[in-house]
Amino acid sequence: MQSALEQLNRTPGLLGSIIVADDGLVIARHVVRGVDADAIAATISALARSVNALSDRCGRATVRAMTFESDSRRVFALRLRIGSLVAVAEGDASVGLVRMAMREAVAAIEEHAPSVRYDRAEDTPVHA
Amino acid sequence: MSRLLGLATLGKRRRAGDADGLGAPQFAELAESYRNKDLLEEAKAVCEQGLEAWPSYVSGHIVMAKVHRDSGALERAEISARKALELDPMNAVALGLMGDIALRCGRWEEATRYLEQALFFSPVDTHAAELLKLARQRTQPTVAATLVQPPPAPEPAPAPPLPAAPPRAESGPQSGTEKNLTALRQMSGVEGALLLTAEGLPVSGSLGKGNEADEDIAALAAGLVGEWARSNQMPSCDPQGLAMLEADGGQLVLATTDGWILLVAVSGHMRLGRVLGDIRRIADQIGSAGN
Repeated sequence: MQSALEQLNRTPGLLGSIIVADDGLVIARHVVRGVDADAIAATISALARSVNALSDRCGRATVRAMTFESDSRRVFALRLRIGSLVAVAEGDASVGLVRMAMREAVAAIEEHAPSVRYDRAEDTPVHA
Repeated sequence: MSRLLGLATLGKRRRAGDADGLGAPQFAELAESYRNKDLLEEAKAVCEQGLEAWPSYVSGHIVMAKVHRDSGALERAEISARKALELDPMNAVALGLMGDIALRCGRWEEATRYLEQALFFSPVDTHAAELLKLARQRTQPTVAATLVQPPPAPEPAPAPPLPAAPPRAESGPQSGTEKNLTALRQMSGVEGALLLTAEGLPVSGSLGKGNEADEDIAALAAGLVGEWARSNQMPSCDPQGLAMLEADGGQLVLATTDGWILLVAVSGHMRLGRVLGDIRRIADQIGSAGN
């Protein structure tokens, strides 16, 4: 899981990536200084609930991908079976490249996800 | 070599005390890399060290100015940018920086002059063009009279909540806005467009599900944007931000602009890249009309 994040972070412009459980806790992270993984994870989790409420009222299904962007920064989130994969990038990072790299990372993470459970007491992922 | 790897290599050389080994372009490159990663203290230290050795290196002063600007030290940023201009009076980046700094200080006319000069030397500088547009809006007398706030603070500052929507007659948008929304709804793949205030009141347009549904949707969208605005770790949605939400049944785009929120429903088969530019442009026009 960690190696999938490290591989993803080689994408130009990427500042870090996080695997977030649905309750907002960080499962795995690989970020540079200046990126607060815990704060982003909590925010994405909260936003996902609001996003899904909006999507539902608009007649859409559960949202599987979210992108938030301004001139200075972009945050991407893709649904995983175990939560979400979140990537934080600079404002000028290539959206296409990041999304392609994220899809590859999702495939790699999902491959190992069934053997991973989340240990709340230890606040760490546990490999079965 | 990836940027991160390059940064690590240059960083190692610096830590190893190899300051003499860092050529002038390298110290500016290293400092800029630190700045891009929000490591402003490190960037500043590298610039100071480098400029001590190469005081006439224009790019070093430019990066120093950017670091000060990003730190909110606008006076120091101006000193560094002026130094760069003294060394190279036709440097488009330095001119653009002077314009940027003047704009942040509320000196609209001075900002306009510098940005016009920057664009004269570098007509393809889209960032300078955006700033010039903003500066010109501020210098228009009717608009200037209503503006008391300087442009948004530089990056590390926490994102403030979205400002309240500007007051307008009967809460109705201008006819140009109506035209823009109509044009948007007529675009291939666009299923509906709703303009709402930051407080969640629908103003114009529809997602085609009835007034009651539009009101619910507007409230939910405003709540979502409010949550987004309160997080200083997320990209700022003030004054402008873009959120793309993709679900199996279709896609939603939220464009924020100066107190307004434009929500657009796009069909699932449409590639968002084909409509995003138009959505952003129309949102910007709505924001300009609001001001």
